Amino acid sequence: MGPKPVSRLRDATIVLLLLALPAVFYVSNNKQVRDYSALDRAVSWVSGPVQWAVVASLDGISHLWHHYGALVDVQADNDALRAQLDRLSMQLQTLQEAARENERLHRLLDVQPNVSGRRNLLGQVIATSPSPLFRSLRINRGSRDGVTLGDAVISHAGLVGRIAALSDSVADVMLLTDANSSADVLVQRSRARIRVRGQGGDHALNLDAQYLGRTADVEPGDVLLTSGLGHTFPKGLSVGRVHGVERRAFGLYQRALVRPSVDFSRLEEVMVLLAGDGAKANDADAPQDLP
Amino acid sequence: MRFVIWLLCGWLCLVLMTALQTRCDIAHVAADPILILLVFFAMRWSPTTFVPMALALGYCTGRAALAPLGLHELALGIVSVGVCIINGHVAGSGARYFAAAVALAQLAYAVLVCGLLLWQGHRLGFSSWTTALLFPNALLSAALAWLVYRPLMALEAHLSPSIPRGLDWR
Repeated sequence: MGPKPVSRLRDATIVLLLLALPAVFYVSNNKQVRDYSALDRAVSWVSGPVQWAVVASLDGISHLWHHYGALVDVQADNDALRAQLDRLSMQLQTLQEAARENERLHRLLDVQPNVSGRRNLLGQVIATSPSPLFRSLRINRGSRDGVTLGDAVISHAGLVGRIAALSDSVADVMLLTDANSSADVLVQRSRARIRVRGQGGDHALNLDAQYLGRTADVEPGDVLLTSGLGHTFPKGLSVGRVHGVERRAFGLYQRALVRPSVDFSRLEEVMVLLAGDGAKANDADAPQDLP
Repeated sequence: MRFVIWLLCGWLCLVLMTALQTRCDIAHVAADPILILLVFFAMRWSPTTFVPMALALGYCTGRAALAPLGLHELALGIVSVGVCIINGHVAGSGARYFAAAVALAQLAYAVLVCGLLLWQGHRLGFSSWTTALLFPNALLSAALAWLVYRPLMALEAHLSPSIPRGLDWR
């Protein structure tokens, strides 16, 4: 014997009211990503350590395998790496000297130092977005580590994104490739200013340069760097490389396709550029005060 | 109590999946454990029980993805109600039927999320890469659903109170 019509109607009404609740929130919600509420912070406080434990376990297993299980041609690799290390050490010394000189010249010209002057924080990626339509990562650094909303996040290869949501112990990074993410950039060669916007995906065909004037000097192969405009991202961070320019026979704009310099599918550690304390110089490279 | 335990199971599955994907990511193909659970619930529970579960798990998914509030909640709620309605008109049971339902629900869910984003004028991170993942993700979810069907049934039987039927003598 099935449910009575009255109870069916009641259930249907309850279900419609329940579904109306998220619909109202979704329709009335503004288009910006909102910060964590108290409930979100509580959930992330619990889930962050679990995610970190999973990632740490996998890293440990991978470490064991690579150090004990896959010892093939280790000696040859070791010798080659030692030689490479010697070469890189020499290059590093040269670059450090150039950086110090650059710092001094910047002070002379009263120009804001870029990344080298910012306090930074290393973070480990502990989770990724469960939805392929939204590109984000979770790192094991939060407000108690000095991270604030909007802080730029970089890797050794270039710009990763910015902090979009924050709790005490973890933070969510909106990647540059997310559809809601954009950055003002400069073409390194011609200094043309354009804006790049994410399109989803991780590596190929996933940054779209918008509002690129028809007369702007942009060619395939050009490197894009952050312009520093609006102080959202520090100036000079590598964003990507142009790999295609589309120009129609008419119209005000041309379209450039950009491949990002960061491989977002391989990120394990990132660096957060802390904006809270401003541009503090590293003690080791502190420039001398001018007389 | 059953509701809370299943909610914790769903949350734990989401946490583990998002953590595992950072290290064990094969071409971004991933099963959706939340959807598997909701399809399971939609086939067995009353709508007034599984819809709140869909809203709760959708909220967790949405916050983990930095998605607009209400998007995943609404999409999962609609998909689970759809599964419940269709299940009432289709004579099927077993692990393979469950797996097929999960695969179709995953496709419907992806299309629904895209539709809701477009409806509200949100920017859609929809590249050809995303389209290419639709069927592999659905197949992987179906395979996982087929594997976990019996454990889910066992856990549900363990959590649900026994209902005396007809000639059961106790």
